[in-house]
Amino acid sequence: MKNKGTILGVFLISSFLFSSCSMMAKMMGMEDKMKAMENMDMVMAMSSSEKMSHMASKTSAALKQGSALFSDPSTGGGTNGLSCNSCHPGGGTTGGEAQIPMREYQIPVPSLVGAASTFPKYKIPNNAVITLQQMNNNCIRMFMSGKGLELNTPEAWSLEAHVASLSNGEEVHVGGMMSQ
Amino acid sequence: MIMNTISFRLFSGALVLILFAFGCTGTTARYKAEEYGPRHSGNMELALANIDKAMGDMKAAKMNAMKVQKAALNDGNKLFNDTGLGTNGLSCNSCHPSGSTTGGEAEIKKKMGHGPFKIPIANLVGASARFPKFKVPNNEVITLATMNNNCIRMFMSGKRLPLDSPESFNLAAYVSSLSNGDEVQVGGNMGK
Repeated sequence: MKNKGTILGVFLISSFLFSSCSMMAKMMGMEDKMKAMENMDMVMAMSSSEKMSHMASKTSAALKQGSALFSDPSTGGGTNGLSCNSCHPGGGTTGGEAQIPMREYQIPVPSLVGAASTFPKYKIPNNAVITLQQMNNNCIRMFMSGKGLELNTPEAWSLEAHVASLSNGEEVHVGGMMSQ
Repeated sequence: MIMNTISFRLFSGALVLILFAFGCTGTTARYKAEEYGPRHSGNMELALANIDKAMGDMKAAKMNAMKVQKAALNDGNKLFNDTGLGTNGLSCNSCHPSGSTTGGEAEIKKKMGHGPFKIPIANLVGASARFPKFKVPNNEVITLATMNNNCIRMFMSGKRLPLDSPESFNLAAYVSSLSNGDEVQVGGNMGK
């Protein structure tokens, strides 16, 4: 009977230690640091041709996913039936104007071709220089009545990749006209 | 004996479950908050107030935009040289002097059966023009802001900058400006 008590006690203490350790590890972000090292080992173990094709297929998958998100009205929790593509068909512009919610202002819809090469860039709604990822969320919130994409997710990354790819071949000029 | 009663067993079982659940959910919530930070542009009222102000005086708004853009690049440059982003005395600039490279390698020590790794230090001039880009540690195509966080965590032993914080924006702006004049090619040669 004493034994049982001891076993129970040890079990209790060790489960407490276990849960607090995993808590600490999570708080310190150890979890994805280990994941990062696992990924590095995985790719290191590949032959150079395997590695090239892995990278190429991941890149084209991300661009494809980004393009799908661009045309999806539910991206970032959009609720009004509009997708990025509704105002920016094929990454261009309808040539029309978009209305700011709850206001009378109409702003011209910009073409996104070449736009990414000027980011990070000052944007009025944020009154700050913001990244393209954050700009995508601005649009989702203002014009698609959505919550925005969680940053640091493959969805946010691949939407940015697609929008950035609309500037392929353009010269980088951070800030655009704001940096003259 | 108290140890042997059913209610004690139930109680201790429940305690273990509660502790375990706390270990999982409680920390996940906290971890997420740290990760995503305050929603900088999620505040629609603030966004509309900023728009109202700009619409009220477009000339002043333009001056302000140029001022904030310049300040962001200055702040990004400061962050680039700030060892306070990490805990080991290194700044971005330690490996990438003025945005370039020392020409050496960065080392990641062996940990729990993985590594060690030696990684040639990249020149950042022109680098941002190829982002978003596939990166091995994430095994995904990632943005520049996340890449900056990779470096802060791996080589500076620091905590990631929340991706919707001015610090993250400004550091990304500075690192991107190192590619001014370079041609955008998302994914680099992998995106072709």
